Amino acid sequence: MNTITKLFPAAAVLLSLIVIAMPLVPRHEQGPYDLDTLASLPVSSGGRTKPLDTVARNSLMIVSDRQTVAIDGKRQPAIRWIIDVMARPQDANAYEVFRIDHPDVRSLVGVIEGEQKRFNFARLLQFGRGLNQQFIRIEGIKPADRTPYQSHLAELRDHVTTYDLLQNQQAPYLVPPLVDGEQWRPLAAELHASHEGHEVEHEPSQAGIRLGKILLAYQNQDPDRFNREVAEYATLLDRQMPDITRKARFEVFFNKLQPFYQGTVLYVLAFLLSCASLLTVGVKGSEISRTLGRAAVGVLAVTFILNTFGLGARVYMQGYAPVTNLYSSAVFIGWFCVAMGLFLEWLFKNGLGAALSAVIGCVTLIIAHNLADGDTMQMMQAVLDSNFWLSTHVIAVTIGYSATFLAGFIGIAFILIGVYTRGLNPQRHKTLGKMMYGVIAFALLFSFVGTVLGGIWADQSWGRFWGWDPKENGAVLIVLMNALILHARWGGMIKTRGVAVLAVFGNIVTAWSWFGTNMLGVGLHSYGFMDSAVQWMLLFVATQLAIMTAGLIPMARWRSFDAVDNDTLKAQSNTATDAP
Amino acid sequence: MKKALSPFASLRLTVVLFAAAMVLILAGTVAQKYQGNWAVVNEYFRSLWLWMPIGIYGIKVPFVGGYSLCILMLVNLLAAHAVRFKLTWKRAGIILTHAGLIILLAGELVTGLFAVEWQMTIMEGESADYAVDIRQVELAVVDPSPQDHDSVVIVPQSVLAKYEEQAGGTGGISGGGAGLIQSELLPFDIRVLDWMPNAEVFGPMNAPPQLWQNNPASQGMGKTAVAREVSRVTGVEGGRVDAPAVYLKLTHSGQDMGTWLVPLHGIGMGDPRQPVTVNGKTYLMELRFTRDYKPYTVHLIDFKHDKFVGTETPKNFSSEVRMVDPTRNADFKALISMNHPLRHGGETFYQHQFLRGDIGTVLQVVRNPGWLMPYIACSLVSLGLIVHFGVMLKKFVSRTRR
Repeated sequence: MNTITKLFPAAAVLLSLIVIAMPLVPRHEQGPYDLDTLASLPVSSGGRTKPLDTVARNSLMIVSDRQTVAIDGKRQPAIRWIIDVMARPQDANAYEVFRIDHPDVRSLVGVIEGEQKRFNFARLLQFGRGLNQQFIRIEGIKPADRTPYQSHLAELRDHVTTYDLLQNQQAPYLVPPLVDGEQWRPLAAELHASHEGHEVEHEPSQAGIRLGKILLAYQNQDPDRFNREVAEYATLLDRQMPDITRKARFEVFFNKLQPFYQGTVLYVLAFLLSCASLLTVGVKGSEISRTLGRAAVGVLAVTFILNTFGLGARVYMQGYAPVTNLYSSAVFIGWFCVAMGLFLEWLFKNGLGAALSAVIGCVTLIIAHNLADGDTMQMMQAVLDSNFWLSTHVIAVTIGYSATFLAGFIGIAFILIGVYTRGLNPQRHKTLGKMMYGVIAFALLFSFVGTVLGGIWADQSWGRFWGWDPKENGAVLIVLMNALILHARWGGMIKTRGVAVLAVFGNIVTAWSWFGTNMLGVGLHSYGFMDSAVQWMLLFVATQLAIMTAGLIPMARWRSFDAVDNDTLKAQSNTATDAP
Repeated sequence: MKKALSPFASLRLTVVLFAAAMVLILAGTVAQKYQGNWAVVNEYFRSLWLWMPIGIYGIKVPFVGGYSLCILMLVNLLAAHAVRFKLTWKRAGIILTHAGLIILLAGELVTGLFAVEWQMTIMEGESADYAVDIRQVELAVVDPSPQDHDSVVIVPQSVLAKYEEQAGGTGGISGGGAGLIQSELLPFDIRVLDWMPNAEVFGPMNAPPQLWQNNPASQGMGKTAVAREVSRVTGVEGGRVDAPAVYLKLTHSGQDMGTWLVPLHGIGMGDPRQPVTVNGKTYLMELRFTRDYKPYTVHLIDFKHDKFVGTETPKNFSSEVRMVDPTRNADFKALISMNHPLRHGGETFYQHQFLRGDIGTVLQVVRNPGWLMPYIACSLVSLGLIVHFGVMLKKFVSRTRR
């Protein structure tokens, strides 16, 4: 018994480490071509220097909604796909990668029925004339005014463009600046420069010639030559731009590790363990609950470290503070909630902090995953390109979001445990109250400071401290919500239960401020992520309102209190956190 | 005294005011889907009360505006501190925080009442001595005949809107007919046929046939273009501004001079001013953003604009300027870039936009006597909250650890 108690948490931690390391094991059959070295070659795309691997994964993701491609019935990595597109177009054109979801768009490529969703480029070419006519038709229509069919069509057109640019070596910018004053440029420009009969503006550069040789060797199916050329080119770049190649290799490792993707799985594991721990509290004569609880915290801690590494890696690769767009805000909110959850766990040791932060960690990573669209590390517009403000205002506001969500989730736990189980004993009643109070106070501090810092940034960049724009208003709503809860608590208008109900409402306010303001601009005919996001948002709001309603049921009817007489109940509510 | 104040000092009132503020802000955000940001700010946040629409049925209810809420919050806050004032460590944080909040609210009030924003467009190698208000236009009638200057007569936007005939405007200055804008400064009388706060202008090739057939204009630009009123720019469209246009009927001592279309900045890239000849003398007429002439001149030495490689995403832009201000005896060079404004003579110059082809810059010029208040407020509140929550956290942790 004792050995199990000791070994179980260690085993859980070990299991998590194995889950983390799994993607690093090569899964695809290694062919004769050294695609790993090719994958880590730096290129420039979207204004950022990144390995070819990232471009391959993102392009394939955009076109196909997948990171791998089926070639001769086998799953192949994105890098194999992109080198085929660039150097062996006749092969690549046969790969079924163009995802078409809309039945009417599918009918444009001659498909009336059937399950097939991905089509090859050859087929698109075959139906090219009809497709082109349709593409021209939607040209003048603003994205917001498009019907779903037109939006899908526009998407397909963009995918074809992406593919076309790759095939013609116009994107990404493959040729590096090896001489002072040069910029990254597409290989196409170099190939034309070397083409006979063309007016030669400049001689093709050394790097351009080497890249051309790599593609040629691949085209001629000469693996020895290809591997030699790639290795020589990689050595050249290592010598000329060591920092960039080091970063590119690191990014390939990051792409393989997929720290945020693995985190989702591990958070579920941590959540299951902590739920099991909470359910087994009081099982007599055993240490089951505490053992499970320790295992949960262990898994959570490992996942937290993985998440921290992921965020740190993004900062290193991108050169910006961790939150730069909706995607990274989702990752950061989850990460910070887990940090707070672990702190609460250390403070109260009741398993609730761990359970809640595992839920939030998992949900935010899923949200982030759905927000990811192409490269999630875009460069910042000039006005936003300020690390000082990104790392003060944005971080503070995001921490405010995190804390408000955490308080809301504690509120949910309080209500659900109280109403539907007998688990809300006096001890839990008190600690949950304290947890909510502390987290809300923390949330008020950060959301306020973050909002005001945002105002100061605005004053610095366009001379207007406050412009009442939707995003600013969203932020101030969170401040007001938290202030309202605290003042109502101090004034004795509400007790722990009231705080819980209002904290759940805080979830709605935060979700509105985080996403809702982005949805305001959505037109009636719009489609795509934001459209389905609106539905998720409404569903979320509905669940929160349902939980609030449950929380408003008189406490005497809560399952946790049906055995307790009213006087005890009163005494209990009064022992909850006292006002300062 | 304390007794009289205590009803105003109640925390219940605080909570109600917070809730009302949340409702107002939410409504003011949603309203930006349908109205311009500035219209919403004036209606919701810089007002004493308003008719707030609820739902989509067009039902409106009266609600407190931003100014009223602001005042009520100040009263509540001051009363609370007057009643409960006590100087202890525990209260110190709260007092600091609330003092900061008072300054913050007052700052927003000062900004709302006194701040002014303009834009200044300067071409590379050229100078500008005026800025424009992009939310207001004016009809300018220019007499270019004097040797060393232009004589300009201005008809402000408010007058154009007020004298509009189709809206049933019933202006009329003594001696003139109803709705006739007359002045001895003006070379002709103006009748406003149609004032369009935001308009779309079409050439003969792309104009809807119906619109083109009913073209009211008979002179000037109106002979080759036709305008139609469109809905005003809404807050969620961020960055766009209204482009007004107006149809005018001009007369000179009762004699018809035709109907003219005057769109903002004219049509296309040509001269925005159209010539109007009265008794052999030519005047130039134009609808332009309201100008504010400055005592100083800003000269644009160089404009720089970098993009990220292979993208259209701007990496940075900056304007190297020379500021010449005889009234302050100033003549100096400065570099204005994103997040690095220039402050001079109570006004602040921000890098705002640039002209296509990087041939010039657009600076945002702001005069806001309250600009420093948020900074002071932020420092006070942050300090207060840190003190307060520091004290609380210490208590919280020590109590829990026990």
